Amino acid sequence: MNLNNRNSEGRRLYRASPLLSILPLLLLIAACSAEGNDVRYPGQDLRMTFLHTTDTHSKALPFTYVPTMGDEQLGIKLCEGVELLSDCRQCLTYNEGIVSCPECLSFNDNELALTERAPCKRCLEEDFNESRCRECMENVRTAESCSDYTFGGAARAAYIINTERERAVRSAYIDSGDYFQGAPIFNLFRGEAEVRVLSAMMPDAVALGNHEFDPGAKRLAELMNKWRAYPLLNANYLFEDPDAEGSLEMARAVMPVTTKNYDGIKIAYIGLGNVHSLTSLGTSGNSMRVRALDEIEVLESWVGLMRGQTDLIVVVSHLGVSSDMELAARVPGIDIIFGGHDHVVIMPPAEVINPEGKKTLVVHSGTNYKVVGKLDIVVRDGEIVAHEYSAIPVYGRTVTPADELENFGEENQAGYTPGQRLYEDEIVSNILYNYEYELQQAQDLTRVLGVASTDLPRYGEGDSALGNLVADAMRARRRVETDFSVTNSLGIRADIDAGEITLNKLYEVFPFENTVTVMQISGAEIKELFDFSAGRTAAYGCKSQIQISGARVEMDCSRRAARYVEINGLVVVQDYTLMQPHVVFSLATNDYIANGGSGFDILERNTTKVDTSISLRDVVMEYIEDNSPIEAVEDGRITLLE
Amino acid sequence: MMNKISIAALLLALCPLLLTGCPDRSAPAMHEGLTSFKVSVTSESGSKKERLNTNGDFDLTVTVKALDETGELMKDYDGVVRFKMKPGLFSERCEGDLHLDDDPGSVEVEMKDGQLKDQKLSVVRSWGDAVVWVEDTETLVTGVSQTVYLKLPTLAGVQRPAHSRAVIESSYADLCVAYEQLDLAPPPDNSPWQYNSVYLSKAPLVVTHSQIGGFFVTDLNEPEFGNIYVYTRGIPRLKRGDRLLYLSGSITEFYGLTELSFPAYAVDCHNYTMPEPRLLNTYLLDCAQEMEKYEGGLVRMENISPSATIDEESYLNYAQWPAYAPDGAMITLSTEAAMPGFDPRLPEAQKQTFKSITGILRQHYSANPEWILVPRDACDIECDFEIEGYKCERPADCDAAQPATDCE
Repeated sequence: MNLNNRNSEGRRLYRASPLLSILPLLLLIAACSAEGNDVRYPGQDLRMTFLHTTDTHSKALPFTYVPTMGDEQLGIKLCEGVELLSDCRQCLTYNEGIVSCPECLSFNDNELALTERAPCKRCLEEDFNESRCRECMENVRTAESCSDYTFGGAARAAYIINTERERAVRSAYIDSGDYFQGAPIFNLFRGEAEVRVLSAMMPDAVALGNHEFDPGAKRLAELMNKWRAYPLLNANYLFEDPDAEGSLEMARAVMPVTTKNYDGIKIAYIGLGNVHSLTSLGTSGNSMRVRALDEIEVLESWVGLMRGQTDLIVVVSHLGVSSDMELAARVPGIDIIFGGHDHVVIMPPAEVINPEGKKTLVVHSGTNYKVVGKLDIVVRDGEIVAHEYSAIPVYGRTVTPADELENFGEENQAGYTPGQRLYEDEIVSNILYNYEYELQQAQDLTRVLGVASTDLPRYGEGDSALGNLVADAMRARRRVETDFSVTNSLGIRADIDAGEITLNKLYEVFPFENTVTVMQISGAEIKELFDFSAGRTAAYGCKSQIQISGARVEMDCSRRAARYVEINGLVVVQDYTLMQPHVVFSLATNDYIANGGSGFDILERNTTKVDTSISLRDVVMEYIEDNSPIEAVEDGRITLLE
Repeated sequence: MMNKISIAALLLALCPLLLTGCPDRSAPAMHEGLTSFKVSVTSESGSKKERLNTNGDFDLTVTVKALDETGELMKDYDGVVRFKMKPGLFSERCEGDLHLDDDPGSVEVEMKDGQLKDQKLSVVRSWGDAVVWVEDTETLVTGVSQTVYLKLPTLAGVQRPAHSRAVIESSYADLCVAYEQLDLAPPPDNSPWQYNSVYLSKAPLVVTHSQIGGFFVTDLNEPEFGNIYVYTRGIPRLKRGDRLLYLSGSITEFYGLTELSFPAYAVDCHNYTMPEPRLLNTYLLDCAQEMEKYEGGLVRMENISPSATIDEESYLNYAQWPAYAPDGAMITLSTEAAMPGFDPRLPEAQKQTFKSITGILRQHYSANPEWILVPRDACDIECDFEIEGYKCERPADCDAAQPATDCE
């Protein structure tokens, strides 16, 4: 307080310092940061449902896809129900006209396993009823024409999330980040659609993923400022340089923690961002000069602060599975970690023993809206006493209630049957309508570029068919035409299945706007490049992390070194020994690793780099158009030694 | 400018607001009606020190009370509740006709007047620190019982089929026992604990092989069914002979191979006792149920030779080739790591016999035969022949004294 002012009458005038005058406001804001009322139910078991998505990567619109074995284990099967329901159809055809169908029931009882029976359960378990078996038959007919079944889609995921939230006693929706990058809608609208859609889905907490920085700091800050309607959480990034573009705005948009009351359960959400991919912020032109803080120290501080004030501590993380497991094992007091970045489903959630001997649940729920994770917990006096988890597949055909009534005479009460019929959330669907229309106007994504005679997978034992195609395309491109080429395997984001190759598929393979960079590289640098690649390959389960053209290489995963390297017929490395230190070759690569992305420091240090500005996607597109039909070429140019 | 009194008045006026917190924006008023269930297991539930000596095929008796928001009995509650065992499965009956709803392993019971006394439930399978989960089928309001302390899971327990009834199905009747499969159970060679999480400790879990992507571990107390592959994705931080302090993860299936994925583990000590490899013969190889006992474990075959019919694609893509023993036993060998340079397709190679090959037993649906023997290194191969381009002999240092163990 300033005690020196006096008025004209000589009476002292006390001027409240700015802090004192706004102190009540600060306290009010602090009290208001916890949403929800503060009822308590001591000693009672309280159920809470979390819906979880992560790494949705701009898959706001449904997409076609061939499920992997991992997907099938989660119940995402192509044309679920066709062959499984055929027995029912066969039975019904056989028994057509018969009022009661004990033979039908016994036939199916013996032949179908549990999960296969579920779709025809009513037909099978009750006395035969013609209309009910007709419903079973309609299911078969629907399942048969599943060529238009699609995966993902934000509107369909939103419907599932909202339906589950309405059914739940208490609920929250969490997203663990990386909702940018991965589909043409991002390339055209640079994230606006994704932020609007996520806002409409009303998540309780969202982590800041590494790909959110892809459109640039300024653009990200604009989107957060204009469209974001969710808590964006991050406790381990320090936006410390106010002069860096977008830094100040991001510092304002992000908060480290938020709390919410759910009718007797008070939860603190703490956000953590990816650190290993943070290097790309500095090397790919998106740098806000963000400083990454040690996540364990940060988490210990926030957990210590929030523990006494809340029932549960939930971390919303984009660090990846290994880091999440390590955090769970080292930091006491965490109840649940909802993680992302690695695109996996942990089924069931990992239960990691923390330093206090209690269990921390680690939940990861896939990618691309292919599933919605659902974690149900029971809390008693602030402790989780039981839990169950399921991954709800977002796969099937989009239908409306009107379609249901017309085709089946009855509306699907749940509004979705994963693997068959899926509804869309109206609000999200309306948001996407205009974006989808403009996208179709701007690019004919259905344009067929060529044909793949066989599947072109991006991973092989050493080199891969798709990796070889990409590397060959880069090297052969006019105005590039280098001695050899190298690209990173993780930059190839999808396989190409046999059949027509559309522009849309190419966007799935190359969602990023990478360009071709050329440089001169010496023998010594080449050895360092492939030694680093061998180490990286070893870290990823000895699956090659590079794809090459114009070279042959043997990488030893155990020694994390290149045993043999041959460029354009000249042996540069033999038996791990550098044979040609001073020879110089021309190299084509992508701008991401050329600028040191994924740790390719040897390329970052090269002073002869020239970015050709030729889009890598365009290079591959032209190559496919010129060389169709495309045959898979796996010629052993990369050999891996374990 | 304000004087002291004005400032104090402002703070005083704000006090009530500060003390009561922000007005509720989204949460409903105090919950009315059914709030939770009080669930009590009234039969034996054991203790941490004295666990019930069972993992399945036993009955529980449970009492349930519906509670309102004040924690009092809600006498006017009538509804259907669903019982689940966490972890594990219930069924009304263990054999024959099973009443199963959309949630396999759960049981639905009608509840009246807010109470359900002494409801008997048959547990098909459960383990460790288990609870009975009860939820109202309409509102999903839930209650959970006190902990029921069951036998801790073991690797063998995880992989042994849930139910067994001796049904002779093989021409080797005295050796092959087929297991009756419940509708609940997955295909015969899948773990009945698929998609469950387990925490294993207090057992001598020894690492029998470590490779890029994961490691194999055996429970020395139960070598039959007590072997598993732990998938780590990267390079595991342990080596052969390490004994684990604990191991946890999710049970999954990979084309026939049962795995523990997303693991957490810690090494206790090193150079521990290794299990004795199981000698395979044609009787065992003919009986899938018997072979399942050794999946993921160390096995050995004697006097085997490359088959004359080798699938080119399988060999070129996976370095796998079929081999046979004099008694007719057939197995697939994967020898790239242990025998680099040996080409079984060569006519000279097909005339050779390996005195014995030891290795890890894997399974893959696409392999033919689907059981695969993977020798770990050259020491697993006993042979003494030389053909063009390859000399087969066991290195002399294989039998050198092993480092002493630091395990107690």
